[in-house]
Amino acid sequence: MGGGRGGSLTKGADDLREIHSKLLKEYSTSADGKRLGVTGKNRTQHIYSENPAKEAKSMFKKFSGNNQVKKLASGKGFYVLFKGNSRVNYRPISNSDGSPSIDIHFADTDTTYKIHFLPNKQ
Amino acid sequence: MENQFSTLELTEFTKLVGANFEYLAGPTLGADLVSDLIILCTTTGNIAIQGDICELDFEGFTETYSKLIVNPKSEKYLGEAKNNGNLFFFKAGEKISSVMILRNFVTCFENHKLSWEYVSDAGLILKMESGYLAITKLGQHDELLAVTYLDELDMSQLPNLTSAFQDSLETQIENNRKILTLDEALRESLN
Repeated sequence: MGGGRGGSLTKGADDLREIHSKLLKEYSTSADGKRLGVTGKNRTQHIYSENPAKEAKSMFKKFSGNNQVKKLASGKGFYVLFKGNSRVNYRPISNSDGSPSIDIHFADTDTTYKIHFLPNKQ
Repeated sequence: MENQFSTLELTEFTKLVGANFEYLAGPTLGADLVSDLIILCTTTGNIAIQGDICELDFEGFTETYSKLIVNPKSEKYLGEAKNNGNLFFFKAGEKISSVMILRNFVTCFENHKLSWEYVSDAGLILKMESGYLAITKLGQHDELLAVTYLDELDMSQLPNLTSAFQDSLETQIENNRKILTLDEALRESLN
């Protein structure tokens, strides 16, 4: 029989934890190494770069991989659904400060954290 | 802080009582029955439940919180859902005998003293002939909603909400939820 993951009707195709673990090796992280981005104020993580918009889009592409990206009806961004209803939301313009943001929602631990993409500090 | 259905939205739900359920639909609703916009189609009309976000400041800083709304453009979204073939007929034809609201309570204690309480509506539950259909939030801070079919009204079978609320050395977070009848929710919204 054919291999691969095709034809699955389980929720989402991939495991968010696996992808997240891989990305922790590519980006700056919190001091404990468990969250992407350096820890900022008010529970947000920050990723600094020359081009925050491009950086955010690039990270979202890495999360989404071959999974289906869907647009939010509100027009406020996009999401990808993973196994067990874990999910990643990408907002090119966040509600809070207008910077691009990615929210990571782990359904297995009922936890959420948010990354804001900011320009390099001068 | 409260983040609940409006009186107008709750009044919309009264139209569901006595109707026959026809199908669920949504422009991006797939077989996993998760989306940010889910349309309940019944013999007395269609209601689009949408997950949205809003900014609130009750924790001492502005944060994004999920919000449930009734989107008035159900016909537009139903057209998109039909074009995409996103219609789901499980339990079609069953009569809706009552509607309930799932309400979520988050309480923060700082050094054992009440610091803040956040009350939000987390879902809509329909009682049908052979069980229950629930449309509930998946998180405290994002738009996504999930559909769950239940034989019995057991809250432990509904999805937990993902959230950024965290205990610390000084603060303890308590999560609770309860189910209100539509009449109870309407009465509370008028107070």
